Amino acid sequence: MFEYFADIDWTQTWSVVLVGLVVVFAVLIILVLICWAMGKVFSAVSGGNGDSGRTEKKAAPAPVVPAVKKGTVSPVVEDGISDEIVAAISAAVACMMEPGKSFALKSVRRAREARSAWSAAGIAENTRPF
Amino acid sequence: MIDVFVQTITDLWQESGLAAMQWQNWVMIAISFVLVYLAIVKGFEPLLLLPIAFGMFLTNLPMTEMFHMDYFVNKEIDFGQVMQNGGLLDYLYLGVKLGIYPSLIFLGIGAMTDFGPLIANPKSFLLGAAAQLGIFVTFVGAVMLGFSPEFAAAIGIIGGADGPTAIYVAKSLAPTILGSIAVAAYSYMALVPLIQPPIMKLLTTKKERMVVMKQLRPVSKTEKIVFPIAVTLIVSLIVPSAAPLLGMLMLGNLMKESGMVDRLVKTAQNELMNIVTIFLGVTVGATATADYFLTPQTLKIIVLGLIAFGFGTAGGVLFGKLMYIFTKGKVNPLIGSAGVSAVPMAARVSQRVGAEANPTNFLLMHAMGPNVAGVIGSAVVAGVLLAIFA
Repeated sequence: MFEYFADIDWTQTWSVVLVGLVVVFAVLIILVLICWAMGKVFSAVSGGNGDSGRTEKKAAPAPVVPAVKKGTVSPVVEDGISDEIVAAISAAVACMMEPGKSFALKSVRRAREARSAWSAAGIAENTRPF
Repeated sequence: MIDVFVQTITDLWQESGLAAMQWQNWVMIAISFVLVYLAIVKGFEPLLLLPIAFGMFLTNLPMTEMFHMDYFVNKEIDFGQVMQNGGLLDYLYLGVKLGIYPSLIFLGIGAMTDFGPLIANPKSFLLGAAAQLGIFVTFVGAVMLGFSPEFAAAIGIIGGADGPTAIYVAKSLAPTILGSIAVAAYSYMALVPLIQPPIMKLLTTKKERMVVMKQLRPVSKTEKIVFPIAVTLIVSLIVPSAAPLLGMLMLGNLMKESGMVDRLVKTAQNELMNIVTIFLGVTVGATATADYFLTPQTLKIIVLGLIAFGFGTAGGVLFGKLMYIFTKGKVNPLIGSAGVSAVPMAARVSQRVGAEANPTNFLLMHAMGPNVAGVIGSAVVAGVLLAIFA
């Protein structure tokens, strides 16, 4: 048994494994770097719209939060959300709270979902065969 | 009168295939029927398995003289024999032996592939590299089982889960076992949905499988046009022997992404691909003659092929776990298994297993990145093995 394995040219075998793994990783790492650099260059050339958009997004959810005093809470409400919706959300929260416990609604803003329910349903439909 | 009649009938019988049939031929024909059954009834890679099975059937009918494996067993082709005594499948097999069909298949694959997910998330390349682990584990295993290093390399490439690449390597390094390698590669590719999920589940936790990945960034047309040129340049300079496969893959992709040669793209995707698939399948099947197929080697190749697929999947998933740790849970390790080429089957498996853990999760596009990276990775490994052994 040991003689059988001793006859194998292990030096060549392991060198093939080593060379193969090193070369495939080296080539693909070079391609990673090229793709990464390409992405940076093209996003810069395209005017950096994405970056300015991102800074706007970051700036938006940072409104000055008014000092909240106990009993006089005025929630920070995102633009486009009507008072009726704020009232409905407050009522829903109140329903879910334990009885007798007070709460303060500090802010109301839209949940940032990756995709809408309709979009998710569409993808589910299209990928069902997979 | 009667004597002449009997003599003629006797001569006809002696020259017929029936008289020359041996039990090995019957066994091979039975195997080809099983493959026909798997292709038609079970839908196992029918586009290739059906021509392969019929090629196997034809080559094992004695006296038809359609194919002569002996003309192709050496590194140099015996063109004199092929031209003077060759049969139909001998002529068609030249396309395999000269490396024409696998490269043309890659042209069609390139014309059908969207590298967008890979360009959007270049780290996927690493998963495509890690999934090549199966090739090297199988190479060592094959050497331990007594195969020569050349044969071991050709068997190991089954782990690349890429039929044309496996054929491209085997026709140079191990022409006598090309049939066994092709049958193993395509059979296991069809079985990817059965082979991969248990390994993926074994190596990952439910928490890891549930990871929802960030939506990929949109990729511009210019990036998609530059990508095939850049890949061809880099890979061909570093591993020149991979250039025929990768060059054609990237040519097909460049034609598609340019949007200027729709007629050529449609031809590469459909007519050319289909014609070459028929020639490739039937001639690769023809190499599975009883003399070369009905040997203990074939059984070893079948087992080693399964090991190759298993370790390839494990390599990708384990590297995916590493990326999960380093990115603090932003990468779902399941996309690593798609690194074993088998486009798009392996990516579909990642999607399916991910959706089992979290039905609202859609990993398909994220898995397509490693999936197409696996095609590039296995072509690079093929180039390395050919550079070392051919």
